[in-house]
Amino acid sequence: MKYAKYIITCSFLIICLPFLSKAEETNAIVSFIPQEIDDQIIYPSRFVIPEVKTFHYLSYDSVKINPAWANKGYYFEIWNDQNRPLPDYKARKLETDIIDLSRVDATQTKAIRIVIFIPDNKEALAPGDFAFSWQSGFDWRLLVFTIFTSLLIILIIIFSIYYRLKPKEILKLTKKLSFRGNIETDSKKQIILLIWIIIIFAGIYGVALGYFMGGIQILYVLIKLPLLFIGSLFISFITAYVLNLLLGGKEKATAVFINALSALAITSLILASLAPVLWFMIIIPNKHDIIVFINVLFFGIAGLIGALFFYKQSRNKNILGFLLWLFLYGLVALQLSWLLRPWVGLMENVDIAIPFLRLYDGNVFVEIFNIITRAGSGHAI
Amino acid sequence: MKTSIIKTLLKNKQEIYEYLFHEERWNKLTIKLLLISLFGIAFYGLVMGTYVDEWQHWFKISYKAILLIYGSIILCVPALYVFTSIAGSNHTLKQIVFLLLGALATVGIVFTGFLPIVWFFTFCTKDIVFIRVMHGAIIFLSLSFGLFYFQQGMNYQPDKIKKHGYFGVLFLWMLVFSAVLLQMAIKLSPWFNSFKGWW
Repeated sequence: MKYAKYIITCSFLIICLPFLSKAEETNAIVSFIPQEIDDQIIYPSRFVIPEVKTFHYLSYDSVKINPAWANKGYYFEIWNDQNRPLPDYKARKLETDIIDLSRVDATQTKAIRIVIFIPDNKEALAPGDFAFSWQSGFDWRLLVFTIFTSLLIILIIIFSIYYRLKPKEILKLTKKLSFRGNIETDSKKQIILLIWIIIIFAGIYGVALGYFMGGIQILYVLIKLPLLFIGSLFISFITAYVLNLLLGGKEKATAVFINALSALAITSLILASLAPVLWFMIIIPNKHDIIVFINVLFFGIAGLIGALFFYKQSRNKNILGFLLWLFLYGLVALQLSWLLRPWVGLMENVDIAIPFLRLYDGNVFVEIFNIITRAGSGHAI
Repeated sequence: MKTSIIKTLLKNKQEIYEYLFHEERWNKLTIKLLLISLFGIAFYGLVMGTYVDEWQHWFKISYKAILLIYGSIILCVPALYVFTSIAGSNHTLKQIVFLLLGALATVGIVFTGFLPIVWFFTFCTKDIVFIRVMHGAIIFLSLSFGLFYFQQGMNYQPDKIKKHGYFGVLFLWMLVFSAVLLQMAIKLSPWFNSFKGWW
């Protein structure tokens, strides 16, 4: 452990690297080809297919059209490579000559085109070319994610060898957690055992969840779900622990960490026990939205029991401190789960490859706020 | 002090309050408290600055964060002394400043505790409103913990801690301080845009 500080410093420097890099901006001018569909002339542009290198991200910026076309009562849509309109860009009024494309999820849209609709009663002006612009750069988020995951896996393997863990011990601790619900908090070996329990049981639920889309998605969710649980704890632990101490807590950091891990292990156990139910719901089959609802319900039940277990186990019964724990962990877990999407699967374009992560940056709370304000103002969500 | 100062601030504040009545033992402790607060605020500012992809910006924000907190505190110390004196305190200005240093060290520790979460959200969010609200909430929470430390210190008697004294007057001072802090933050802006020079 004498090199721990160097490892931490190096990791921090690597994490800082993203901020030193610049994204590349690219423009492409495309022409249009009028087409007749169902007796109506439409004006689709040619497809723009940005070239994206491996381990690089892509994000669309905007499309610039002929300014004379704006505010003429025309409509536009943005279509993907399947010639389907994107959800946020369906039959929209053409009010400006620069259309913002930042809401396009580039991981699902490898090619893009704009289509202009001119109503019969409007005069059709000759359009100029369309200028699409997008950005691409090295995907640091994926790199950081890979580094963290690799580091975590390496550490787990090293410590598993160091403590000479046997599968029997994991089974024994699982039994102890399931039947009696309390474990010793003074042994560091418990940390590795508990992490293994989370990996195994959250992984089982992940397999059931990934079954909705099938194929590679099963492997993706199998990796992502335990990582969500453990990653959220790693990020929120220091903050929650410091605030708890200031609120009068006296427990040692190791003991609190083991308590938190055992609560997550309980949550994973409950989720694993619900995995057959989820699998049954998927093979019936049920729609995407119903599966999402069932998952929210299952995570709610499992999370609640896990949280109660955590409260029961902690020596210092400070309700404010406990609520703070829940709040901080929930905050981080919600955001991390947003970044690690897709979980259930894709609502559209099921015929394209499923990405490991959707590289559409964003914040879950901002998205929730946007949904609420849009619903409040009467717009379709 | 047998244990580290950070551990004492977190787990056993009474040990620091004991020093309040022994000015001759302050020297090392005050420097330690000052350094903890400065480093805590500076690190927080550094991570806050990572919102902009320029490494120079991180250090500028780090420096600005120290100016923001210390500048506002220095402006509000006279008001704090007068407010607490009117409320019946017998503490000297030196003792008030000593307690404030402890409170600022607590703020520094809370800031440091928040670093992983702040880094995580800054790393994955570009929405300026969310970032502003997040920093506002964290700064408010950290200052509240600092104020809580200060209040307990004001009520400390060598053998016991009264829990509720000075609450009203400190709340009033907090309002004044928040207004100054806000004004100072506006004066020191921009925080989340690249700029030339140190301001």
